[in-house]
Amino acid sequence: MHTQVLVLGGGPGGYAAAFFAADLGMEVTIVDKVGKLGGTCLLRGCIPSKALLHVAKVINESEEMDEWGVKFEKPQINLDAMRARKQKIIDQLSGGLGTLAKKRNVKVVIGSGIFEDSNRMRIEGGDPSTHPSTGCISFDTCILATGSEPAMPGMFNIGSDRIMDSTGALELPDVPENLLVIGAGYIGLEMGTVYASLGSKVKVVEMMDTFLPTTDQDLARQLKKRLDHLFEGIELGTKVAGVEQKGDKIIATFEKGDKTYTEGFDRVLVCIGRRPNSEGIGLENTKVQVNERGFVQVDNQQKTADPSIYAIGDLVGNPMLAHKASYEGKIAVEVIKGENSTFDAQAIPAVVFTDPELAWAGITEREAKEQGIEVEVAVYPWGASGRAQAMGRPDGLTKMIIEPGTDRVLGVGIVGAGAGELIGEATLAIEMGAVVHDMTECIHPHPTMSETLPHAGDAHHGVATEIYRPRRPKK
Amino acid sequence: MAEFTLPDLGENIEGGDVVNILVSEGESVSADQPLLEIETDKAMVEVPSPSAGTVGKIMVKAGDTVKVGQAILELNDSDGGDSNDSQEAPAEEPAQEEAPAEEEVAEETAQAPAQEASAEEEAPKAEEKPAPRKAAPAPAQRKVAPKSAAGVPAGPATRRLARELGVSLNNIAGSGEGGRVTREDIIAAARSMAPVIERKKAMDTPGEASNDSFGPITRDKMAKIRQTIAKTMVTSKTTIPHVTNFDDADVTDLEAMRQDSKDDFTAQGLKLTTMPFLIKACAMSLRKNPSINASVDMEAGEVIYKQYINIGIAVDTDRGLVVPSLRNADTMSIAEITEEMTTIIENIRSNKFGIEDLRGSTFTISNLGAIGGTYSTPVINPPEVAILLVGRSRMMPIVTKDGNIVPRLMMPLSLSYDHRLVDGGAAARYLNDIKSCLENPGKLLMGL
Repeated sequence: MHTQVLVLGGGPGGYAAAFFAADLGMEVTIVDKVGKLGGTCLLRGCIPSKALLHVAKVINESEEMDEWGVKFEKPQINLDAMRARKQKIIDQLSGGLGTLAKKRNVKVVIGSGIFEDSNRMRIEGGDPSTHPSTGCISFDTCILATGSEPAMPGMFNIGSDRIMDSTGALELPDVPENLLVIGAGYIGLEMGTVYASLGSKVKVVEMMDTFLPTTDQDLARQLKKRLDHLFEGIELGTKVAGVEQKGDKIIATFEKGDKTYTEGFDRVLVCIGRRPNSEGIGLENTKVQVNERGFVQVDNQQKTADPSIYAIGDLVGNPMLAHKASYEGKIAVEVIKGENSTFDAQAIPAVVFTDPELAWAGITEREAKEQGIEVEVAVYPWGASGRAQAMGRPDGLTKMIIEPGTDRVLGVGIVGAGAGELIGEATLAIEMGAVVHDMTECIHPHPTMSETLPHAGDAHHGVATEIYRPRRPKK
Repeated sequence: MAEFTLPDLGENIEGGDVVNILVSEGESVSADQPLLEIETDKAMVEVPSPSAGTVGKIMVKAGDTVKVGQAILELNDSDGGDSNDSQEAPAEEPAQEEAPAEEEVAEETAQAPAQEASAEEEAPKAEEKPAPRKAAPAPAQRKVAPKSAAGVPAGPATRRLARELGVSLNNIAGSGEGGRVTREDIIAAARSMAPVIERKKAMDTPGEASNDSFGPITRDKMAKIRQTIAKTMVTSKTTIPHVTNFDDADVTDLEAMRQDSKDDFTAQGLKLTTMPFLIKACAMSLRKNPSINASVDMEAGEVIYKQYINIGIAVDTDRGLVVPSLRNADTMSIAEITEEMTTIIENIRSNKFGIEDLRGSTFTISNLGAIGGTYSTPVINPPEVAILLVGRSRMMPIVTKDGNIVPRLMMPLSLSYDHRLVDGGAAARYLNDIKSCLENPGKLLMGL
């Protein structure tokens, strides 16, 4: 069997690239291990976690209704129903992708793809009825989109089903009384939020001394304030020295400074990062170069060192985000088609879907400082927003990083309820090279949180309606 | 030893391909001695030495694409001292301008004119030395947008367009707020006569034989002049609403007159063709139809009426179409036009022409009579507003006023005009005037 474009991996990078290639008239085959399209994002990542975070949000908001004089009983939780509801969403979306593939004549082969050389792939396992009779597919061009998987260092891999990675945690085996989350990254915080809202006592430990160290700390602080309340505790600068199972409990040994102590948990969730899936696919039989961290090396056109192989998504490096993968997928397809496309995005937005949400795009204040770039920073506290007050959620900030002189918007960071929905506009502004006046002179609907963007701009100019600042002589 | 940089070659010309290097390292050269030949997108240009001296290291080779300001070779000035400084100035200009911009990005709008002014002050200084061709004030590139940490401000769609058109964003002065590059900026840059086109790799292997899906092909470099024609044609067809009127002129009498005079001209070493009559007819008729001898300035909302009449002659060469300009054609006699035209065309065909020879035409004639064909829809040569295409004259049965059918020699004429400025009536009147001149050749002599 021969195909013009073979896409290895059916995640948000892979299927987006495959469908786009088909739309441009190419003949496309997707090879994926799992019988469903969607990859980590849809099957065991973004989408199921958002489904569960939706549940968490409703639970928490109903509790907050107390202050408004509306009292709900403590919720009764039926995990089977919750799992089924979550699965229904996944099945519906994944089924939709399967239909879309069929309609576009994109062939889906279920199995593991292993390169025999730069233009041939052997298919193993999976569903043999979908395999070509020779067990091998030759291709003109391959787009590698194998993604990543949760890292599980050997010290945690003690053969206990009580130690989970994010995939396991999304399966909702139960609501443990005590849950230890190792790693205060976005996955740990999101899953911790789900379990804490469902009733677990959640303790988060993080090796680093700073909470979300790469994020601007004024934003991170707002989030931590609320999580400190939701979680039993967030232990920073704490290392997990070891875990062992004793009966139904996992006993974890912590090291914090000179102190060593142990604590028992019903379950442990390990979220210390993700590893690119670059092993076991026969890359050694191609000219593809892989770096010491396992990332496939590509140029800004997604080309690997092998002229017939492109790579996209988590596999090629951070940030490991679905929207980056699909963008790269389209670049790769356009380049394959012969267009002079390059990855030239100015901003890759990122969202932590905790409550409050934390979102940013473009440069952060911290990065500007590290890189010695002079910037001006404007902050609009949500306390000044009528809508935020009406929602009972004044715990937010909208922050703009501005280029001095030109007033160009270089970055935006937002913390607050629904921040993830606001960052899209900021991303557009950055990509368009917008200046602050572009944002302040664009009428935003009132009362919405989207107003905090132009208001931050007004604050920058010292004329925010809801904030009085004595005039300073301009330097 | 001073670096000799490619001097300004004229308005809108940013560089070209090195065709020949006429000197070698260590060679003594005199002032104004040609150092190298460069094919710009308009014409072949010889770059003369600014002064007498000795050639040091030569930094380019034939086939290289060089830009104005790029170091070409080292030149040891025999006058002693590095009096070449003024030549170097243009090379440093872009760098000099970017530096202050970085520091003083503060008031971008107020700043821009000031920067331009200082750039212009420097430019004349650079020209004090005898420049090969008089350098026009420095073109577009000047007001480079303030360098930003985040790169050139331009939206993703604009960046895509720039990639597709091969325009480098770094060389564009954004017209939007904060130096933002707009879609229009990109299009203007692509259309300008000398855009910064990044040549595709494939183009660097001229004549390379290979295969595509359907069989063997060869890939040849597109000559600069061909690229220029392509760009001009695209600009013309995409910005000018073309309308074409067709007509025939009865040139039976004109042809008789030409045959009568042919031998006299031959005796003078000149070949009398129909073309001088056409040039004269068009030029004289332009005087009566000023809206055809004009240009449109849409940005200013103005019409530019030319007070001179220069006729562009489309010359078919093996390198592509070249349109030299025959100046003040309306004031010349048929004999003068014949002589002048013969010289111009000879120069063009033997490649001995400069950019100036191609400039300033106000109306173009494309005469395919010698090759064949009747009517066509010629493409206007901007900034002109009309062009006449002439087909091959042929005998046709013509019904006279008294109802007789007589054989007459008919010349097919196709006049394309810019409908922004010229309406159908005006075009028809102009074409009638041309016809009238051709049908009554006496008018061409009486010159009214």
